[in-house]
Amino acid sequence: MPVEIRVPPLGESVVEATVGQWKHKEGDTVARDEELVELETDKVAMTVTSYAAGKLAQILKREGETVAPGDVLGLVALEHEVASEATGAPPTPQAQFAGREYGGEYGDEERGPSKRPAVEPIEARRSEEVARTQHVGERLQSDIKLSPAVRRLAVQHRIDLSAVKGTGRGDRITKADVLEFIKRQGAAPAAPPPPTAAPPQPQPQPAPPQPAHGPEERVPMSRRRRLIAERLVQAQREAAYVTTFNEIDMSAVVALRDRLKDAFQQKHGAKLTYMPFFVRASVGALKAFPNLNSEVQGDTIVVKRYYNIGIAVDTEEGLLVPVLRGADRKSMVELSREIADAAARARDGRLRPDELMGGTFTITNGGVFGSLLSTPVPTPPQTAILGLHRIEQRPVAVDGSVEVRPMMYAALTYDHRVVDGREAVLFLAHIKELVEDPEALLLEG
Amino acid sequence: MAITTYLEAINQALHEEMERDPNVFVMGQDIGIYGGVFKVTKGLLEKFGDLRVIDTPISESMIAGAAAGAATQGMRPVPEIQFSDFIHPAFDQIHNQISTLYWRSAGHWRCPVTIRCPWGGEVGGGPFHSQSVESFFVHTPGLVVVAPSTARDAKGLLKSAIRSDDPVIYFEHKKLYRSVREDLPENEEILTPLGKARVARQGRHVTVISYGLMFQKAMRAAEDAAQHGIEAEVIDMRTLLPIDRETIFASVRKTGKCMIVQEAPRTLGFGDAVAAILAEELFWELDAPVRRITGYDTPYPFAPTMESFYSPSVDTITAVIQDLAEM
Repeated sequence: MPVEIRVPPLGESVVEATVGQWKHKEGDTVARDEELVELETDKVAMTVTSYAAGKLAQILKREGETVAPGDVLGLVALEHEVASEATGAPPTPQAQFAGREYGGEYGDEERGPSKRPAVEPIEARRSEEVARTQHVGERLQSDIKLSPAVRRLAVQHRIDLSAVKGTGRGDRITKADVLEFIKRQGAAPAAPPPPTAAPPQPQPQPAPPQPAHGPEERVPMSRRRRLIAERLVQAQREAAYVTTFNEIDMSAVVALRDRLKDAFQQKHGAKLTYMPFFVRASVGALKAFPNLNSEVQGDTIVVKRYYNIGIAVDTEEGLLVPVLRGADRKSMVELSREIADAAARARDGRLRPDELMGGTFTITNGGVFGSLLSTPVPTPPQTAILGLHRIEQRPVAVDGSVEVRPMMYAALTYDHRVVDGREAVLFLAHIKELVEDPEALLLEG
Repeated sequence: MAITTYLEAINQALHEEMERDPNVFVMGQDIGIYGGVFKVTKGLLEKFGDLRVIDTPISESMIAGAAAGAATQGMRPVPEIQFSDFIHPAFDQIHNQISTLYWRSAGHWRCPVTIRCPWGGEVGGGPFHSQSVESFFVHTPGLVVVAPSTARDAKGLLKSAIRSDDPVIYFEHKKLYRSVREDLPENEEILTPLGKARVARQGRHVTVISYGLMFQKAMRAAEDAAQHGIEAEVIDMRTLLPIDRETIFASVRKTGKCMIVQEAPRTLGFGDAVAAILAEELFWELDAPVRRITGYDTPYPFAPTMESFYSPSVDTITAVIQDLAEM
């Protein structure tokens, strides 16, 4: 009975993935833990490996197809079963013995390979895999150890193991824990359905093909693009986004950076950019104006008392927003390092799903592409986003004279359901003050 | 009831069985006039005479071979191999002749020998007076292999072995001779069933499987573990071949965690057999890996410091019981 290779749990509220490249073709021999196929979600790419050594007998989901967690991607025929498959050609001496019951008649050429009886352990293994993908909640990491006894009990009693408290070493779920859970539950109830995301938005009907007025190329939207599109539209429909602007005199920060960046690089091995300054300033402003560090849930405004700042990174696949957790507690060095690391991994597609979650406020920088001014869109479900732009030398009035200063336009888009105009303007002004005066930034909480 | 040492229990069994059945006779090196190097056969020559208590030359293959021959003629020989370390010259007689006679003769010939074999270490005996050789015989189909851990079973298993029509290798542990003593009934036949293990101590956390000296240590370790609230179930195998799966399975189904303690070297010791059976037949009951505490894969050491390092200690057993229970 071949082993089914299934789509593993993909992460919080991720309900589908696109099959990417298969690293082997049907008929290839594969080793245990060998990489088989890539899966792409809207956020990250992951690789599915083989549970068993054998032959990739069948590919069931091809590149480009959409799959859900638990779907069977392909089948791997186990090594010992490969040998016993009778083909048209006369069996080799090895094949004769491979298919035979142990202790069969020596040298019995006429009998040929005997039929292997149905292998019960494979069936039990199959249900173990079923348990893993269907009954195990998404809370479980791949390295939590489930013993055979625990798995068997979970399958038999249809238990969602994420609900069982583990009392073994390292919080391992032991057999006793499961038995205790079963006792408390009474007769085995049906397992709760696995947590699902909000039902996906209805797909827009494809527009009827218009007559072409010239050569055209039809490009189907990638999964990721479609999802970005859906999310943006949904966000715009529900929230009331408004953008307010200000301009920031960057001379103090520029001077500071020019003076200290080399020493910083040497001492800490990290490049000192402007971004950590804006992260600190944002945290300061969010503390002063907590409403912008929030999220709308139905009729409730959830004001967050933690500061996870997302930094928007442009990648080949689109925009990714890795999150700097606890940015209020990190030093400029730590922020610099983390920003650089996150950006690099975002571009390589090596971010973990949890690094894209839990943000409370986002900073986006269009200036790297030359943008002078823009109206950024907040990352749902966040309430606000700070947009940075190109630093340009401009003549400005300073104390009655004209001076050339490095100026940057800053934009704050906010959800007007939650934040009033006055609040938003003051918030942005506060950021401006802090960035224009790094010493004030230093003193900010 | 009388307090009886393990050694006395064996001596009593021999006296009783030789009284009961005139076909029973003993043979071996120094067993007659000397009464045995450990005095296990004391008093037999005086009581039963030199036709039934035979001092042999130093030739283990002859001892085993002659016993085999006598057994095919209707006698019930109880030959002694003076130290298990010396059984190797007799291996051909045991493995090729004694264990196969019944099978090769389609049941016409039986070979009811009981080969007594002092074994085990922690007596300062070095590599040629301390060996655990049970694995070679558990791997010999056609034999019954027993290893009593208590005075009661030393008597009961020997009597059952002598009465059995199968060839039995009876391993008596040298260290237990005088260190184990029990209150045994005097006027009753003590017969321990062959092929049946005994749950010596009940517990719900961990199953500890053992025999011989290690069984006694395991019991002490279980007491120590109980101080920490860990209840170990200790099984005395008593018979090593055939393996009493029923008793082992019942216990492991309860605890989900199993460890085997053997004095013998690690590779292909009794622990391997039990672990493989559990992995194959009781996989879905296992809540933790099956552990083995064993001697090292080296010859048995002579220096006292090395011997106490080599031979599993009570502390080691307790530590592993605790580790398994807390997993």
